[in-house]
Amino acid sequence: MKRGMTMTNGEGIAIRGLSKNYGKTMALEMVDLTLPKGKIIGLLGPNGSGKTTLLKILSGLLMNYDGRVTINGHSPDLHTKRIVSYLPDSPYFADWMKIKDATRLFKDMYPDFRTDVMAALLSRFELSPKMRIKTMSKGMKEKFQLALVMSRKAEIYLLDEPIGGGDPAARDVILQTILANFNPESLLLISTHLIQDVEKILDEVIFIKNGRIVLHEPRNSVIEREGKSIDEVFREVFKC
Amino acid sequence: MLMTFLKHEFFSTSRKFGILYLGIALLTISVIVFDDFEPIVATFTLAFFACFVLLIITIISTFEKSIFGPQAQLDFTLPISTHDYLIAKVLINVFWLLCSIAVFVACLGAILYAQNGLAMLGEFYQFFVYEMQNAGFVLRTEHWIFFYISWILSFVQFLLLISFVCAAVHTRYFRRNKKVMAVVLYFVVSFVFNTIISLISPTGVLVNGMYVLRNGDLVVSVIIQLCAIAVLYASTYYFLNYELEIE
Repeated sequence: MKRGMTMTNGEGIAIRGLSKNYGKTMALEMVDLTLPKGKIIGLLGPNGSGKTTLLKILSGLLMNYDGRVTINGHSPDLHTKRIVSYLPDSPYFADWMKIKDATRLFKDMYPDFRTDVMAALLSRFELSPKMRIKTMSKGMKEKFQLALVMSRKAEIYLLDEPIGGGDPAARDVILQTILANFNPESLLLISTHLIQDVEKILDEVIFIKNGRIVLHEPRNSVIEREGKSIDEVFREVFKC
Repeated sequence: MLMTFLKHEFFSTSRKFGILYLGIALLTISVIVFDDFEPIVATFTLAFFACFVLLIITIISTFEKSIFGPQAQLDFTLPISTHDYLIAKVLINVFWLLCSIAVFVACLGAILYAQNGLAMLGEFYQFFVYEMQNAGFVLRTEHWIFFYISWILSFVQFLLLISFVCAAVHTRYFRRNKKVMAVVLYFVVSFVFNTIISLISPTGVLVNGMYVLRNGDLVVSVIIQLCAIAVLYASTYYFLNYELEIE
């Protein structure tokens, strides 16, 4: 497909016939999704199901794929990088940097970065701007990166396993932070396999299995139909 | 965004070079204070090579971390164009190359001046010109500019070759052993480029056992280098913009 073209005029994310392979391994297979703005959507699946690959395509880190992907009508490109706030599943800042260096970088790069929100989040997470990243624990790095990403007033948030490394208490704080700083007019796509912790904040759920979408529905309709929590439904769908 | 990214690149690389320059400055001061001429040449030769090796290591590690490491997820989600990314990488490294040369020459000049005043500096200049002529360059005034342009373009070509191999191995064409493949690809592309360039470049004239560049040869070399740079830039741009796979 040709990139850089305007595919649709729709707001949010539109994916049609998306496939991605790594050699002989299919990471995503004929994925069709329409994700409107104003919602928190959970991308739920076990490890290796294709969650991170999908988020990397949306964030512009994987440029070679089959199918059509548009964010606010644009294929992943420079335009979409301006409106997408992406949190990867691993630390992505150089060790020598201090929190204030990373904050300055985001402030310079993103016009939608809110310095006051960042300061408030750092204070809440008990992180000092003078802290060097190499001296921080894994949990502190996660909180710091989440603070950076949520300090942007972005149109699309892509969070890859934001609660993966935190203890139960830290997960609650992280989820509260996401909810408190989420712009209701934007779209938040959160990938995780820790369903029980996140299901209460979701508007829609997507189950992804072996690169295929097996379910995409509003959370409440799944709960009403199945008479079970999302976590229980997930365990049934993905049981070995 | 180019200036913003340049600023970020400057801060991320300046620490290494700051420490190196401080080390060279301290070395210079100690040589002047102890007033011992013998170790000067050896010490400064070592310092020069240390500076050059660090420059090369920094360049490669910058590209390597920028594409191979977790940092790639930061660099390639920043709202900068591929052109800005590539231009910033090249400019910042050319800047450090020129800074390294300036620091080295300034320190050497300071030592020579401390040894024997301005006369020593004059002798050094004569020695430098003599060595350059021996190396085969006809240092006619009108050719100096092309000589320096050609020299800087060689460095730019090296930078783009590094970025090309780093980008190329992060595509669907290379699935395994990416770092090894990057090294192999570097030598393969270098060999191909050098072979082609040697075939189409003007031939030097053998004079007293030395190759001497003829009039206009440097101009032709600059044009050939510009073509090589354009090919490498376009290839790298294509890989980064259309084929990149950051894992």
